[in-house]
Amino acid sequence: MSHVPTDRDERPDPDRLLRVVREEEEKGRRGRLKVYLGMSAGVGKTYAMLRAAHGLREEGVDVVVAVVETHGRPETAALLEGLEICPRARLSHRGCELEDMDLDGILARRPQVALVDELAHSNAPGSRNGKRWQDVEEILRQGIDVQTTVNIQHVESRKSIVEDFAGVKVQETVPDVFFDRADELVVIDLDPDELLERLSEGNVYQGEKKEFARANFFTPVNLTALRELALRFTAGRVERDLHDERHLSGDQTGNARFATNTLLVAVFASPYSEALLRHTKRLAESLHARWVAAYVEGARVLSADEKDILARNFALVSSMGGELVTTSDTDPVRGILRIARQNGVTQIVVGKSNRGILARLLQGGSVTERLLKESGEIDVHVVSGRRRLGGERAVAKPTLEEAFLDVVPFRHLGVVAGTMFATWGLGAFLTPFIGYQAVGFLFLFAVFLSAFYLRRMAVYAFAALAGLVWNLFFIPPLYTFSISQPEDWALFAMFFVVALLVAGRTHRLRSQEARGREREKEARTLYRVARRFAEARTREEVTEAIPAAFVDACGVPAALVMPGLQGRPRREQTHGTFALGEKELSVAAWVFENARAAGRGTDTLADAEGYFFPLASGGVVLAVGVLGVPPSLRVPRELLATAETIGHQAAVALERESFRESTLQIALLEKTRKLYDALFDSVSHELRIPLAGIEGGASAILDAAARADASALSELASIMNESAQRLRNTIENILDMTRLESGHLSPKTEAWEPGEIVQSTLRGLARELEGRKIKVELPPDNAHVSCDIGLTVVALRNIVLNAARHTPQGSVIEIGSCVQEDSVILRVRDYGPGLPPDAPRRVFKKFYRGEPSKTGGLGLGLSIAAGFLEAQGGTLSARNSDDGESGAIFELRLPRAREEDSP
Amino acid sequence: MTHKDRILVVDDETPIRRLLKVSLEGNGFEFVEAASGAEALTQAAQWRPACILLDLGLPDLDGVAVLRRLREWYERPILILSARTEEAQIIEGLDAGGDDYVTKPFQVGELLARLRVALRRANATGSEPFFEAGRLRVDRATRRVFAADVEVRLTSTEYELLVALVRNAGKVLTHRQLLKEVWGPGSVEQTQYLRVYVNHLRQKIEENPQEPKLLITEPGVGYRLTYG
Repeated sequence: MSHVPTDRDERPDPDRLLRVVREEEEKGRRGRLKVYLGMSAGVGKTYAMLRAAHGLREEGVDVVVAVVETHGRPETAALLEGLEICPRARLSHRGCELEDMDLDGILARRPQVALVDELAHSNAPGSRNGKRWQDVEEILRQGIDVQTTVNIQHVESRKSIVEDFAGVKVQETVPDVFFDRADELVVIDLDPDELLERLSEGNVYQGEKKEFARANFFTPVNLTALRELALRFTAGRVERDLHDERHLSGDQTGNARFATNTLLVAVFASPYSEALLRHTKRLAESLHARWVAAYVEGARVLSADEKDILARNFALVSSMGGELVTTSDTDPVRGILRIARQNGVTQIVVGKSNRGILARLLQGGSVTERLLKESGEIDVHVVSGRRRLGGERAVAKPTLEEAFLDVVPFRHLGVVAGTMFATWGLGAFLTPFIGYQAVGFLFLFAVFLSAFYLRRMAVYAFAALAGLVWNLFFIPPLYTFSISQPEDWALFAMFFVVALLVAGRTHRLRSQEARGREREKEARTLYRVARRFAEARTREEVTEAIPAAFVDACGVPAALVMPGLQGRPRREQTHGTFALGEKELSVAAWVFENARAAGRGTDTLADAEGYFFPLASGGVVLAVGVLGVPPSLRVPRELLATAETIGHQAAVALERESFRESTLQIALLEKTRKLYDALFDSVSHELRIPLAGIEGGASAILDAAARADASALSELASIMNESAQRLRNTIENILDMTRLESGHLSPKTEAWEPGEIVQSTLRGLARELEGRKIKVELPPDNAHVSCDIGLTVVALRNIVLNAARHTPQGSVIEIGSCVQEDSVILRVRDYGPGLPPDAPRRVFKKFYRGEPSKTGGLGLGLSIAAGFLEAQGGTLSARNSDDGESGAIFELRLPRAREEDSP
Repeated sequence: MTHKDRILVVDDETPIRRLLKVSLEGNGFEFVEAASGAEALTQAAQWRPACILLDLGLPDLDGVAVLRRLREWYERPILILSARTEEAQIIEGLDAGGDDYVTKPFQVGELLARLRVALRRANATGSEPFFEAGRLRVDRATRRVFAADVEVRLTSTEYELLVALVRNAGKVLTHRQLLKEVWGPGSVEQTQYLRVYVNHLRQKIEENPQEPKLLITEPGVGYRLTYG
């Protein structure tokens, strides 16, 4: 093969690399999966698996048989001996006792390897998962290795081939993506003749005998075909692995074949799409190509059945590893080609058309023909039509009566008859004046009107009926279907063409309108929801808004479950209109853990009340949404789609909230840190500056030059003395504060004269109050105060010092007292600038300083004063004076001592 | 001493100013003071001091901003007086043109020694090719370096670094200043270069590189070449 290297061929495909890397990553946490694949029952898959298990057990690996069917074969049963077998779970379903694999038992047992026979098995009703392969997924997710067995006909993409050549129906399938994730695929091969010989030799397989008989495919031809299928499937896997391996190691040889192909297949709301999807999957596999399934949403509103089929087809695409791309266009061909070009598609797969000649003429040829014509550089694969590919899951043909009612519902029959009679009567009345030919326009008008409320086929029928009535009763010769005049023939023919066109167009217009309305409604709902989420300002508001949005958009009760602290969510963390029981909470827990939808309408825990789905962002489940779908109702697909859309928005809103909360927390931490820094600075300043005075003074005295000068010596000594006092004050303040905060303050209250308190306070403050005039005015008959003298003196001292610190040299500080009912008030008034206007209470806060760094100090003095007063039943208040002169007034209010206590 | 050097002390704490007044006047300096940044600017312009002792924690203006304003016209030494907690500010101040720094609380003797070094450096003509400090002798004319009279061989980077230190002998140089001078403006964040080369230099010029006496580390700030 001569190969001209191009840029595109050389470059490793990033998607492929990503896939490999992601698979590797996931495998790091997942258990390893080994699949024993066979062409049919009886080739010895279970036997091989058990043999291998014995080998593992001898190597010391912890192997457990999760479930194995022996089908009564003695050699298989013999192999089970010596292996640990997990007991099966018993389920009672509608009075029947059923046995099945115990999933929770295995998860609790946590072996290294679990053996799970018959992968395609459908679980007993009432089990958590609908299918056994889903159980296996769960086991793997818990990091437990699994070995399992399966026959080729159960592989999703191979099922239709088997059905075609063997003529049997395959009920149970396992998605292809499951096999794509398998670490090892072992094919158990046996020559068909040998298998048949073993059968005829009377080596009877009890359990499988019936299956064999029913299937009736034990012919050499069928077995050979199955064998080929199994071997090819495995070969494809091997080739892909080899290719990935090479890709990762950078080996480019032989890559050109794989790198360039992308297939596209159109999905329709038709049961025939299914076969085409399977075919495309197989083709893509053999070409090692990526495949895209394109859905073009047209103008027509789909019926409920069609929506169901479409949803099933979508699910099939994802289960076979295809990529679903949807777009919206009135012309399906244009939509498909747009998707094809956007996705770099090289080949389009289409089915042979099976549409009637009329539709082709009206719409310019079938989709297939138009694709062939318009695809340009893209290759088109035309796959043979419905006969071969179809036939599986064909929809049941409706009976004649149903078909008729489908076209013309009962309530429409009356309308049709009424309109017809009215037109007829009006025509009969008008014929003498306008002539029978003009009456034709009356009928045309009736057809046009009918198109607004009848279904399409009904409109056509109505048009035909109108034509016939016109002919029969108005066109001469009357009461026959024959027409005498040639121009009447022409008129009649034109009537038909125009009626049909009008009917078709009007109907189309109407459905577009209906679709538009539906979309508008969806958009409005989404807009409303988005706004509601955007307006929610707190986590509580968001958690209330989410279930409300679900109720609004889906029309069913809804709830939101927030994650619990340790795994299991608690009821307090649920919000909304839908009450959840214990069982429902455990379903929510499952959804949290597995990040998948569960409950009613799904394969998992389907008997739970309601539909549970994860609200996830970036792979993390932030919450679980619950829709209270009534049990009688099959869960409509569009409801789930709406819920999913809103779920996305809800997840974004939740993420936004948690982000905002963490931002707030960081801001708070930052604020705390700043506060701490400021505090540390001020404490270290208040300790360091006096220390600098002491150390500097002492070191200067040691300095020989200073020692000689007596005045310098005395100045240095006084600096040191003042610094030492300041240091003492700081330390005492800190100690007082500590005492206050420790809560071990026990005031000793006695009756004291205010004069004595004031004098003891002022006695030690001579130096600090230098340059301030202190005026003490106490009424001579003053009542006694009940207080702890020590604490009160400290409080008053701090207040007086504060006044001295904040007032200019030479200003007056007044100290007075008065009696107010049961209290005595000591008042300190200064003539400084007064308190900061914003909040006089703030001055009592710890570490508050009027103008930071201007006056020094720790900002503890007033806070201590207030604390000491409160500790003995007093209060401290502060305000600015209102007598015209500036200044602050501090009032110490203490309980008045009773007369008998006074000395 | 006929001429008295005039020293401006800028500090908002009265005890510190009083202490410095006694110490400086007792040691033959003339003392001028300022209690705020604004006052410092006017006092400096009015008195043209020989040196300024500047506290960085001023009540009205940011100390470093005051330093930058002074440096717009004032070329004599400025010594930074600061509390140890303001390390980042000290580095900023040195980078902005401060000559040296003393942390509070301080020993008066140490402060006076730093002050004298700064004044000496400011008064030196700067054209002297020989430098001597302890056992170190540098002859910049011939690019030869001796340690205890034995010639040592330096790489060109080591020599550049040593010369940068010699030019500013006695003064602390921040990491940034040294890196800029020796390695260029693009390398001012590469403090690890500096550590390596300072170690090389110490191996070659110090008597005991483990206890350097010439090339002193100022923790968190920079390096200083002492007069030994």
